Amino acid sequence: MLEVKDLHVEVEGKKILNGLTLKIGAGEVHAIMGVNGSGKSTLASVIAGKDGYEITKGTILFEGKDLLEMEAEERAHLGLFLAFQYPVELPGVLSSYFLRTAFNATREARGEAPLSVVEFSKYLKERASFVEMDEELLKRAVNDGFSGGEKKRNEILQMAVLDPRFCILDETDSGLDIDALQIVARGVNKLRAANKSFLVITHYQRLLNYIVPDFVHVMIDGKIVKSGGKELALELEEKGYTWVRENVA
Amino acid sequence: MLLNLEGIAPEDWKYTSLSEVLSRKYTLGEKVKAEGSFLPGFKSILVVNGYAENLSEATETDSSLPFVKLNSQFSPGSLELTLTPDLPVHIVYVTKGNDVSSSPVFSSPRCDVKGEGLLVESFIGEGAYLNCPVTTFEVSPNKRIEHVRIIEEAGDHISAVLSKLNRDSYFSSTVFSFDGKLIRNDVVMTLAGENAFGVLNGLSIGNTSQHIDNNTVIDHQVQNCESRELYKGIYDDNSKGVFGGTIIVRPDAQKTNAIQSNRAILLSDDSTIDSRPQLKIWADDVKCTHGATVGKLDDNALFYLRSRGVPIKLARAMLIKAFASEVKVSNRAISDLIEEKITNKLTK
Ligand SMILES: Nc1ncnc2c1ncn2[C@@H]1O[C@H](COP(=O)(O)OP(=O)(O)O)[C@@H](O)[C@H]1O
Ligand SMILES: [Mg+2]
Repeated sequence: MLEVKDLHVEVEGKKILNGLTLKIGAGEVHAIMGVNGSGKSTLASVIAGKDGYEITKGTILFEGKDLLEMEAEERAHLGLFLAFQYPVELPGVLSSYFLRTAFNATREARGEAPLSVVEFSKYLKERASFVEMDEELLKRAVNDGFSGGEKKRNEILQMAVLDPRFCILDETDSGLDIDALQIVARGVNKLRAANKSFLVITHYQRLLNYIVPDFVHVMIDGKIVKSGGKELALELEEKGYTWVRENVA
Repeated sequence: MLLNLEGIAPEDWKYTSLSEVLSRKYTLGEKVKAEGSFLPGFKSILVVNGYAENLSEATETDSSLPFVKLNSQFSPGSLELTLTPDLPVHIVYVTKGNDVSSSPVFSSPRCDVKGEGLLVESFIGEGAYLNCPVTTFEVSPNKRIEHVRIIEEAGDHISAVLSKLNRDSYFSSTVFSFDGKLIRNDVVMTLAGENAFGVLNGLSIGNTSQHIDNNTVIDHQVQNCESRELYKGIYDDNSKGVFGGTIIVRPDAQKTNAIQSNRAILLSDDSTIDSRPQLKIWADDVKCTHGATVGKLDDNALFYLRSRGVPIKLARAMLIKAFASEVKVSNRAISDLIEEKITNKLTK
């Protein structure tokens, strides 16, 4: 589904990704673990199409299509979704209006008729209850004055509504207490399906107890240095990143 | 005729040049026919080139602003208005200018307001002209007046909104500056009676080579009054915004609480804003804060919207409107109208 090949990325002349290669098949859940500053969010942003990165080498293909040629919104229309590490507050932008606009823009891009306000609000309710979340968050301006936990929950709620096929979760667990973590994980698990893939970025193994990955990759200095099954996460938790570093070197 | 301005304070006109306005020869606006469109449910008053039915002789104001003096000198008369809470009033001021090849029209409507209620003033026009309207408010003890001004001029607009708040009164003024080549609003609010609460808000949206200058003065003369001020601006192309915000707290005005904020976003490289907050505080037991920010549209916010599938043009419009929406009007019919005008202006 997604294929990243030998990706080299610089920001303001500084090398951040150094030949990253990653292949994710349909229905698979991959986890990327790495210390702060290893380039995880940069990878997420580059896949999602944020400006300001210089891609000096490499390709990213989504179902064979060259993502690097596309604008962020076109990627979203194809079914890409990024749950942000730091969701942005948008005071004055009502959540329900924002989501309907995003949802209908995607439908139009796919040649489907947009949903009316009434149809969409019914759909919104369904999706919120599907991921067992309160739609109360959607009655406010997007993330405006939300707590850290509310913001992360809102990302998953948006994911449920937009129903993407490829989801990146960037440290969705950070700053969540155990209850909030379980709510978020349960939501993600409900959305798992044979035609959907996930890239779960995390710092700690904890989240992966709840969202069990098929593959785990360890990222150091902008590169994947070790890959394995879900047991790699546990091993990493036990032995630490220095262990990987020493083993690679 | 040439305009003969006396008593221009250079520091009040530092960022707005009058050389073009003063170099033109004007003809005085005449009593002609025109039409305006009015808000439903409002008492409607049409003013054309300063003329309306039932004008009284314009009285002197105690303002020393040069364009206010000019208005008193040339105004065909004053519209004396006593607002009532059950019937909001909508005045549409039309200025019929000359075609650009001949001398522009000078118009000086004057309106004096008291009572209690809501007043909306719209300014429209055609051709070449300079419109110099002056509106004064006397808010009596315990009364409440709300004022909304919507500027969509074809020519230039140099205006004054002068308000005096007496004991336990409330006044709010919201100035929307949309169209007009040169717009200058002198908004002066005097808190003259204890426990008065005054609000000055404004939203300016400039594009092409528009110049929009809001020069505001809040004068706390007595103790225990509060004022709130929020002026926001959105500037595109090579438009220019100016904000002057003076807050005066006189020696007797203890326990004053004044909050001022000026925020602007620049949508293009060639647009500019000059913001000049000034606190002149002579009392010691007061709470005054002011803040000014200038920025671009937030790239992270833009990316957030686009990453969800919102196309870039729409995403930008959503963020600009969200920025503008902080300047609120409580009346539903007006806020709907304003929203429509903002959309129109942004898609021009
Ligand atoms: N916009 C940027 N400008 C400059 N440096 C950046 C920028 N974004 C990220 N970096 C740097 O790139 C490195 C990787 O950052 P990031 O991708 O956020 O790592 P992670 O998500 O793994 O913590 C860090 O050293 C960070 O300081
Ligand atoms: Mg990160």
